Amino acid sequence: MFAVHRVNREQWPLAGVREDRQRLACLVPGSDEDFDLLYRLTFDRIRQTCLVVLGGDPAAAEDCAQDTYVRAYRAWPRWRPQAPVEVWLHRIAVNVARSYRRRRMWRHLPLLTDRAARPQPLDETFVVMRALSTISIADATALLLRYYHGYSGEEIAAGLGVPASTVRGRIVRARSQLRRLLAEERSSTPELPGFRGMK
Amino acid sequence: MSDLEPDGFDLEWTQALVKELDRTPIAPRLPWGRYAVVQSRRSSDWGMQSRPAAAVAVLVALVSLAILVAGGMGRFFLRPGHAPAGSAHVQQTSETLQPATASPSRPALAPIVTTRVGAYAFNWNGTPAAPQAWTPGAVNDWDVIATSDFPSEQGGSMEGGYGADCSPPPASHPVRALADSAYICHDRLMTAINGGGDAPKIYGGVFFSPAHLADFSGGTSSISWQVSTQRSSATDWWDVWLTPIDENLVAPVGTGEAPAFNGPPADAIHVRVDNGTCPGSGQPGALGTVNGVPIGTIFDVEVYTNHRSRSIGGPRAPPCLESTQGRIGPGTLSSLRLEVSQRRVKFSAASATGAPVVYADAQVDLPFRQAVVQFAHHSLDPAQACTGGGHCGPNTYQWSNVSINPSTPFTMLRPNGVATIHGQAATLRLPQPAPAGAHLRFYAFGSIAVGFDGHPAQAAVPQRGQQPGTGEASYWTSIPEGTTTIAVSGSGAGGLPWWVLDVSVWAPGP
Repeated sequence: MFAVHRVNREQWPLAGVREDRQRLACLVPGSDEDFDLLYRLTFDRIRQTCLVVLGGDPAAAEDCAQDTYVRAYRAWPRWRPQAPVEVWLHRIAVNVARSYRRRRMWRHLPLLTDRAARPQPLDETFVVMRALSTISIADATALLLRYYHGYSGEEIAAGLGVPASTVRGRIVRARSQLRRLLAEERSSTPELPGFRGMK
Repeated sequence: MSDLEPDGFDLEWTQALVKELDRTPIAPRLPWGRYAVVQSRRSSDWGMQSRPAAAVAVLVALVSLAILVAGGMGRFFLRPGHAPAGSAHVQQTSETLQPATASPSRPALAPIVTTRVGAYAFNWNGTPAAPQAWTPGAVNDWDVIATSDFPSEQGGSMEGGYGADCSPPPASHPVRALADSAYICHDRLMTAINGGGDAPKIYGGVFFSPAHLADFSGGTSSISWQVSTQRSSATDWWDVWLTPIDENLVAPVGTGEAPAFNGPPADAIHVRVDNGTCPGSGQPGALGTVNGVPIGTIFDVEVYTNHRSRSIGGPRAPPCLESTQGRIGPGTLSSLRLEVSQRRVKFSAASATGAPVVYADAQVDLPFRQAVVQFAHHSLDPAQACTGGGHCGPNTYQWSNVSINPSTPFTMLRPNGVATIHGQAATLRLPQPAPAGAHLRFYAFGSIAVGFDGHPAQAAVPQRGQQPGTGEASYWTSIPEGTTTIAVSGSGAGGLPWWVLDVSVWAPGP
């Protein structure tokens, strides 16, 4: 079983989840009680992943998160702890979200190619979410799992079922893109609240 | 992977992301209908305090799946013990049930009847002094259902077009009850439904079908109708379905349009309003703009074959409807026409400025030759969809002058005028005995059993592709010839009552 990866920074946004991860590391596949616990401890974070991938649509994210647990429950007896269970959930969530996007799950303006046209809460102050939504899903997922959810590259690789080198490449690429996008955002709208931008 | 250690940049963007996520509202309603089936255990320890709707949704989803796994996919058991007080019928019927299977996956290759092919023309005539809820006749008239995709008789509150005295827009009157969502004023049908605001979920739909099939077994059948041009939200739209009668769904919705209702039928033609950017036209002020360009109406036409959809629409830059109508207003009607043959589908809109605008004209290979014509008005949280300065909200569509030529009538019996049954067993009486080859058609939530003329109840049969264990589903159950009474019972799910609505009996031939 994978060790729980901890981000050793007190100010890290999700530093408080390490206790959750310790509890999640002990779940028994197929156990209803453990799946309950899994749901309780991870729902918000899974929904956040859906929210980012789905471009900030809260209703779609809610549906996506719930679809994720439906699918996960179906596979729960067969799950093997070769990777952190939450990474496995994120993988399902990203697949669900990807299918939503592919199937034009949003009815909102489905034929408009301008993503900014979609009705969404992503006004100009949502700079990070908007930037992430312009990065490829695979890259953004790796980035989120690494730095937002705090998993190691090896854990992400195991959870996503891809080589570690692939994960590394995705993270490096996504990070570079995000840095550039946020820098551009900052230069165009320096007064934006919420994110101070990066050099 | 030491080079992936977080640095200051990562700390800052993740902290900013946390703030953004904190500012993103959690969906306020319960999107649970798809998954629902009851389980009584553990209902109190699912983190309900912080997220009751989601917790309930996932809870019932898990139980639904557990039931499916236990019973085998495609089987649907009526289970005793979870019915609300007064529903002893569940216990009574549970031991006599046979596992139901979905309707056979056979495409409707042949016409079901070849007699009385002719033209069908209909209008909602009437000039009542107040909006009059539309109640179709009990025999061979229309089927109509308004639903919020939830066991409730309410949609979201809205102002429906036309005043309380049927004075024309901008006069309006309050609409919330689903029973009031389809009404007649000034010789037109109005559909007004809100899948937002105080609606129980974020979906609303009004579906209505005449007891006449479009019949293209001998060539081309032309279906025409008029509907108001003005829209009020990018997520408030109408569509039209042509579906084989034995695959028809009570509440269809296109793939990817909304995670609600019955999803798409196996085989169908689907015409739907879609959203485009319309330089120089568009909906005046209502739908907003994209980069300064008004949003307006285009159309998409899809052909579903064995659950797979294929768009046959024209180029992705078609003329917007608004640019061809001359005037946009709540009472301004567009004239639409769908021409269907076994090998070709064409959809066009009349233009005030020239020849009809063709939105789709494609070669097809349809696996059916007759089709139920089903109109629908969809509302998906319409107030959320504003962009670029729009003023979005629920719309009232006006409908008029439906024509199907040639058409073949079929039998449509609506028992007792009863629209909905919930939580209490009921016996319905048909206005006339069911003919040969008839099917009981309804939309339901929960585990539903039906008994005919006092015979033991049996599990209702879901329509092809429907998964009743996961929420509302459309049913299509064979009913013996001569049946005059139908006993309906059920058991609820997720703490909600079972729910049956839009009961009717359909059969080939008039």
